[in-house]
Amino acid sequence: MKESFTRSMAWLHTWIGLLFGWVLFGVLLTGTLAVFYSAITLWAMPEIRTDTHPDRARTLAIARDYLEHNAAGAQQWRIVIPTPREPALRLVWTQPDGRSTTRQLDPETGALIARQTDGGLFFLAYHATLGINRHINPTGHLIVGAAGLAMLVACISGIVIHKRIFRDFFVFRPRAARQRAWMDTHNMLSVLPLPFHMMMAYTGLVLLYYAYIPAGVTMLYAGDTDAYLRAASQAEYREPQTAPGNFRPTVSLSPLVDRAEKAWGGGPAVNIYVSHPNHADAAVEIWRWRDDRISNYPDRIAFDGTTGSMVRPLLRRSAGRQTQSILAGVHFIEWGGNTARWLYFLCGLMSCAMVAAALILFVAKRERKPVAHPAFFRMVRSLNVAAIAGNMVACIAFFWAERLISPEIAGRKALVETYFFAAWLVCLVHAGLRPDRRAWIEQLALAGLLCLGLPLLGGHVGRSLPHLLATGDWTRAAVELTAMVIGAVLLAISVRLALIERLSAQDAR
Amino acid sequence: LAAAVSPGEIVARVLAAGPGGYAVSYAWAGAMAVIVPIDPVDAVITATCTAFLVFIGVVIRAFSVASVQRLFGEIVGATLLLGGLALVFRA
Repeated sequence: MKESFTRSMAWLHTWIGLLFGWVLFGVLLTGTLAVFYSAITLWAMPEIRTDTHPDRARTLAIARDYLEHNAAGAQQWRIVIPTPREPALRLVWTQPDGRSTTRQLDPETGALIARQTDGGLFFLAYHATLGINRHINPTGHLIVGAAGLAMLVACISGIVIHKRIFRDFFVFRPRAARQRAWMDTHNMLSVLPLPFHMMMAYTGLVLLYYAYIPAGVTMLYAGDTDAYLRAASQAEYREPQTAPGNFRPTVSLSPLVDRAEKAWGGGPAVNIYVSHPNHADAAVEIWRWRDDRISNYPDRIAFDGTTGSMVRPLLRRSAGRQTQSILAGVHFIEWGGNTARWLYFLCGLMSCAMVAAALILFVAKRERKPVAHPAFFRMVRSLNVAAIAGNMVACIAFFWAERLISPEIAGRKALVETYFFAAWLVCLVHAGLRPDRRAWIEQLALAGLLCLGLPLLGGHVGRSLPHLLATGDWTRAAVELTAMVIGAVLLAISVRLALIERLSAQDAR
Repeated sequence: LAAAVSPGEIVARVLAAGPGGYAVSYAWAGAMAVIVPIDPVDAVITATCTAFLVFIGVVIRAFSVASVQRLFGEIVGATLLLGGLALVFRA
């Protein structure tokens, strides 16, 4: 019985790992990059100055002035106060019909930054929903959720079968050297960061729990997700459909920010939400930053927008809300600074490599024996190349697109994203047409060269790597240097594969 | 699951693990949300975040129970029981 349980878990581990591994590699890779989403966005927007020291009251005056002139009829304004991580002044406004617009300004001069880009947010979106807006089409979001669940199942079944593998660990099998090497790689990358793998897979589900299994919302909120989210977030939003009151100027925001910071006992404010601006029922909600706390839910103070009186401080929340926001925060990692982010990045790379090693192991285990379904096996080999190397090509192609596409072009965001998906599609076709080994060598070389060559494009936007280093622009420089290190590794793997192939071709002769 | 499992059985187990697992965890979340006597938002959070663990349990069970018939019996039974509890406690 015990023996057969281990065998069924081995079967489950193999097949759930193979089918979801193709999706998971891309999700984990973009998630790993998304750890540094704010750094990538900063890199993608060379116009943003990082050496600013804006006076907050003046920055808020710039923001207010811009919104009064450009978003007078909006249902809500959002002002994101600049921080060292996001040094531009970001303004977002939502129209009564739900459409929202984002603009970034220089926090000292008020100059508009024309470039439209998602930057690092693209990787965040792909990681969470495969880049498909879940409010329009939930497919991508549900696939990622299923992949997260599958990852947990693979972790548990992997632990069950590992007991046997541990015994095999000390058996020397020189004839199966390649297979054994991949097995050992997969084991090491799985076991050492196992708590990270399982924690991230579970907290990823917790992050948007209500959207995966909405039964609780159905039972207690009659299926009204918006009503549930208002209750869960305890936000002081004004309904878009409610008619705003008569015209009444909203009070000056700067004193409210000072009072909010006093009310929550220190720590800077980052977000200001003004609902129904300049109307009688205006509400102002100010959010504390969350970079020094694990919880994904910042302290919030709400004010009456017309009188400026404090309506409600929201500092303590119920146990369930707090638990969920801490689990979500552990996943989202806005806390812990660069040390924590680098640790997450390295663990994330290990997750990617674990999946890659597993997919390659599936092929290595079977390539010496006769396979039952040659067409299926051939498809697995091609999909492996596209899912692993092709995904890496797609990610670095996105970076190239950010540098190559001019900032003035209309529909720029969609165009940049097209580079990602087009590069991936080309890799998929290429993997299908080329012999397996050649496809690996060529796609890894391409990804490696594109990574290594990324700094070549910096001069084109006035931010060359030497200039970044000379001016102490460490965030942008780190993006390019990290790309170069990854590129060197990928190129080295590609060259090694090419050498092995040449040697075995000589042997065959 | 030996190598010589029929494709039909594999399809059956995949259906039990995927749609079956979702049905049980959906019913679990609905039932727990109304049974646990706490703040409604906390109840939804607790019910849903434990439902993921139920889902994982069903997937593992779907590929380890020897009899497919028994597997479907368990899944239908658990869904009906939890769904029934949800409706009883809501009323």
